[in-house]
Amino acid sequence: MAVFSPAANRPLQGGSKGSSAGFRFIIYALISAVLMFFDHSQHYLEEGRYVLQAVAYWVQLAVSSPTKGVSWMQDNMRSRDGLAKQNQQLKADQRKLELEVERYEALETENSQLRGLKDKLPPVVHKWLVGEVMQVQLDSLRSRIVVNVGRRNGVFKGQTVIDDAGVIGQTTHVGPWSTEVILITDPEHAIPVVVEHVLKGPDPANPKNKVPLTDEHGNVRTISTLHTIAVGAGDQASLALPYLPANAEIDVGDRLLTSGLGGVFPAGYPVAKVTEVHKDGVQPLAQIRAVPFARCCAALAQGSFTSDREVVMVWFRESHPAAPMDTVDDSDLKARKECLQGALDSTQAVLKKIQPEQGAAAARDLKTTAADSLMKGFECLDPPFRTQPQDGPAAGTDAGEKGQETAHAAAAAEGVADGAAETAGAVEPPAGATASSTAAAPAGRPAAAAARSAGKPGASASASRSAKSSSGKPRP
Amino acid sequence: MSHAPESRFRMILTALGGLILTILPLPEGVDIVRPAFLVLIVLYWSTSVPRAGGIGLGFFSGLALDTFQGPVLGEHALALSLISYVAVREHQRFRSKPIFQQSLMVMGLLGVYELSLFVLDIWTTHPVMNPMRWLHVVTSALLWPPTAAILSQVTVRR
Repeated sequence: MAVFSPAANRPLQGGSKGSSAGFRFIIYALISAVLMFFDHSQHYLEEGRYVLQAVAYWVQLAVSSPTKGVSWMQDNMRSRDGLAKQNQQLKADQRKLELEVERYEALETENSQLRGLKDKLPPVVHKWLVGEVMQVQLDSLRSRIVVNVGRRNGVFKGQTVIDDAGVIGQTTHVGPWSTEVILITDPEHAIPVVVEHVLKGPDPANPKNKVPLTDEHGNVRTISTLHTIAVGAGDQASLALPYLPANAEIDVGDRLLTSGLGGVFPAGYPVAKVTEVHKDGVQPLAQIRAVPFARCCAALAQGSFTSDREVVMVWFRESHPAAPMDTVDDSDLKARKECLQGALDSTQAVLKKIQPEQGAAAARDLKTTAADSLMKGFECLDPPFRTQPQDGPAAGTDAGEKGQETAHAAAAAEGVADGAAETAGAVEPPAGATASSTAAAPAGRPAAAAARSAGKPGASASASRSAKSSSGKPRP
Repeated sequence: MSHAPESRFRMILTALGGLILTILPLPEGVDIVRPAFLVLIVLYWSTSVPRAGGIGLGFFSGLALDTFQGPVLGEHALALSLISYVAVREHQRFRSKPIFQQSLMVMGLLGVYELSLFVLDIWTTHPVMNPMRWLHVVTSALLWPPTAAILSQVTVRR
């Protein structure tokens, strides 16, 4: 008996222990799976997130308090000389800003006169709130910060966050006292921008659709109609512009401003400066990098982002012309889509006619015809988009993305036509698609998706869906 | 077994400490090699006091990680409860090994943890292809002996 009982007990005990651990694991795994499902695909867990964020606030407060204490001590230990110097500096800055504002007001008046308005437009931002950065999350994939203002201060999801130099990002998860902000450099973030192209020289011919502005160096700055989407490049310091064709009018030093599409960011705010443009003759898409203006992101690049930084959340006037365009009229969108589809179809039909045995001259003729029918596609985008008054999911970018797609298709088709004219080889439409997808491959998934669909019009719906989910609205 | 509730209190305290170490702001270069303190702590409790609810600790620690740095709620929770389950199951084999072999086993478990995170990343968002994400598996395994030594000081002994 005495010999038996431990031997009989052991397997029993081991068995029951193992099964209870396994049972618990299965329960927890199921809970996790349900959480993931609801959080990821349904977004039902906003309330749960809210509570978790409230708890997290206190931990973050505890974690950020040592650095805050140090900076508080530094503030207190500053010498009188240092303060006097700072004071002088601030006064000089203020004088400069006052001068700027004078000039700005004159410009505003002139602008409203040009627009035929009786009164000056009020600024698009009517309220703002300064928040302090509590926590910085910088994995290789995530660039996010946590700011110490939340729903109690009126912050809402999808709010624009800026600093004194430019756009930082937008709010993703709002807690009661803290808010998570996704930075524009996060690879999951995309921001619709318009290119401010600098034309060198005093007086160029005034191109269509452009308003020249002369800067202090006598160069002409134009806000071109080149709309595109800037996505985080994944190196925590720069943005990539994966959707621009190689013939796009863009150069190093151009500024990117928010375009107001996408329903999140108001128009006209500085986002980034173009630092790198690779236009490879072979590839239909240019490879472009830009560095954000916002000080946070520049500091991130040097790894010196301390937690005592301030950011500004802004509220804008919804009726203002620079306010984000929230939605586009569905029927308008549908008509444009059909128009673009027609242009793409006819272009592809022409391209299919290019045969190897035709010779260079005939191929060139066909290429011109193809280019002409593509230009018809651009005409579909010409009149301004009609917007709908009520809000809904951000569909504004769909239309912008259609423009992108046309540009893509144009680039891809040119590549195809060039190939046909020069080598007189057999080129099928998929070749264009593969060329553009290889060009866009380094720039990440949305780029690849758009490029994939550029060659085949049937897939445009999926591309616009991916663009919708990636532009303006990050996946949390 | 009667000291389980006492252990539970210590478990929660040390896990909080691990969480703070995990989200403490660090310079960029150090950040990449930052060991997964919380995972080490969960593994320690799962192997040394397997009856005190290591899997639950894993789940809730994972949930905390998700709150602070996860793309989706439940991702770290699933990965962490998976490896704590393995640790609880194999705790006798684990404890019978010398500390350096334990380190190797910890490395294996962390590999499984990171791999499951990677797979879940593929499902939920874009996965991080950066090979640097695997670096902390090694640094965490290197940190296992000191972590175990420190935590054994707070374990309830009878």
